[in-house]
Amino acid sequence: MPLSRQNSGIYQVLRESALLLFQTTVSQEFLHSKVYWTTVDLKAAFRMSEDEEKVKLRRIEPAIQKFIKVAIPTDLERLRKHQINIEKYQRCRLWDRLHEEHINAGRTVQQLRANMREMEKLCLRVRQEDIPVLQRMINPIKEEASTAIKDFLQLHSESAEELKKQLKGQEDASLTRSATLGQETLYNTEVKDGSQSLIQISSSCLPEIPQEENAAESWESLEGDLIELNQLVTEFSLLVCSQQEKIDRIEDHVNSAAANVEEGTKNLGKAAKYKLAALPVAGAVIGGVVGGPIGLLAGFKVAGVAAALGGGILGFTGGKLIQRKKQKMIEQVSSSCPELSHQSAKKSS
Amino acid sequence: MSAVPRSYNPFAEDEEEDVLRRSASTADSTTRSLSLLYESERIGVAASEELVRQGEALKRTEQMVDKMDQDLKTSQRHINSIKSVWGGLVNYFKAKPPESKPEQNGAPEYYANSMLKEAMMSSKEQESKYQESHPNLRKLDNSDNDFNKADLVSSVQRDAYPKNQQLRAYHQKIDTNLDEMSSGLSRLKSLALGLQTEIEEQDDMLDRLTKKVETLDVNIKNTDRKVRQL
Repeated sequence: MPLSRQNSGIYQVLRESALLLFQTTVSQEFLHSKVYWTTVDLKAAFRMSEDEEKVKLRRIEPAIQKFIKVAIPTDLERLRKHQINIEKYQRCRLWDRLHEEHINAGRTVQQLRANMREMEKLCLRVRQEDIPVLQRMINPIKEEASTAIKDFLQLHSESAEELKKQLKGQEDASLTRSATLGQETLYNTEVKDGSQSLIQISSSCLPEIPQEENAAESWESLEGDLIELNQLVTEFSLLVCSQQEKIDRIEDHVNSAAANVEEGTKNLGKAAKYKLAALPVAGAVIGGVVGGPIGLLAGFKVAGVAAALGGGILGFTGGKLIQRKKQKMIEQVSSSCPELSHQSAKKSS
Repeated sequence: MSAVPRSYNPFAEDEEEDVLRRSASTADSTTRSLSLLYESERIGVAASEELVRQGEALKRTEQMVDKMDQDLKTSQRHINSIKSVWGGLVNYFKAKPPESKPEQNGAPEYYANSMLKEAMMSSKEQESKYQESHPNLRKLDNSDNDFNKADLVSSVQRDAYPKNQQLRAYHQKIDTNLDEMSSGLSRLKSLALGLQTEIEEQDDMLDRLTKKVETLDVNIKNTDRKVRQL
């Protein structure tokens, strides 16, 4: 009999360790969903910068149909079989087989969840307008899956109660702790789509007592996801870095172009002013040329000379008036540019 | 009845050691992954800073392009006045160019996405933790762990209690690491969301900029032609 007591002690140890590991599994499941959604978001951010367009429902429909008609029903079927087996073993009190069955059922639930995620991923790629149609397609299978999982979990909790009776008091504490942890994960998970509720339900799969391999497996997949995430982030930062160079070049070009255009405009302004300067002189010459012959025709030499001078002065004043008007206009036009107005101010002073 | 428990007996010993070993490796693995996560966070923050700077550069470019547009209109009027005296007078009757616009944009304030900024702030606080978890800095800890483990393995007694404690310690460590990882991941997620909105905005800005630059290009060519014809 001391031998059996020792054995039960060791058995106890194993159970304890299994329960502790189960807690970690629960956290891992939570992390799984977090990692998944972060990856999805990062990929979406990636795609934004690559300008990928969302696709029509029709293109993805065959894949979604495959999920709805084949993958998920298979998992549900397997789940039902596990249920039956668990009940049978519970009745016959074959604890080790029951234990195995629990593990297998856990694996099936994970698979089911993975399939739902894949489907969700596909759904994300659909265009906005097709989403209601998509929802209608998916909802029946979602309902079915959620009810199946609920039933299964109920059964699970019952059988776990049975198993629990085999153990001593310490495990109660750890089980309740894992219960609260499960609750926390339920509340903290952010819901994006309806299928998230399924993930929540499967996260609350508390009474399962997995062996270490299960935890190690899920940990390995999580680790793989994290590594992928890290790579993704690194790639992203590299992209941003390479863009930096292009943007710098763009800015340089635009700046030099702006400087050139400014200079060109100033030169044009100057040219316009020089042209105006010619006006009074031209006016004077024309006036003199016109006035002179008129005066001479009139016959009076002095008057002729005076007329020539007067005509010259008239022409000069007229040209000057026009010049002033134009200068005003040019200044108005150039005052839009602060540097040009500075220059013209300098000139006038 | 005793047959069933006995079957566990020979395996139990090995299994326990196996369990210990596996827990140790898992604990190490979680630590490494945690440091990886912090590194990703850091890289993400750096990338988002660069992105914000690029956004500012784009904004400045847009302003330059607007300015050039203005200048081109000015030079057009000059050309008109040079071409003919009457053309210059016509300018007098045309509408004045809008002067107020360039003065408003004198001091540009680039409003980076608030979401992104918040995410960056929270991630920057994790700098110290990153230092802690970096693999190069943690070698001191690992040697201690190995020492403890060697002690236990050498013990002859099949007393389950100390091993259990060791196991508990490992599991607790894994748990804390996982908790930290989950919070790190949520921060990373908010960072990613902020980046997404930022990139969307910059995308729009780039489209606008492209259009403006194209029209500007055409205008410049026209003006050039006219000047040559003078």
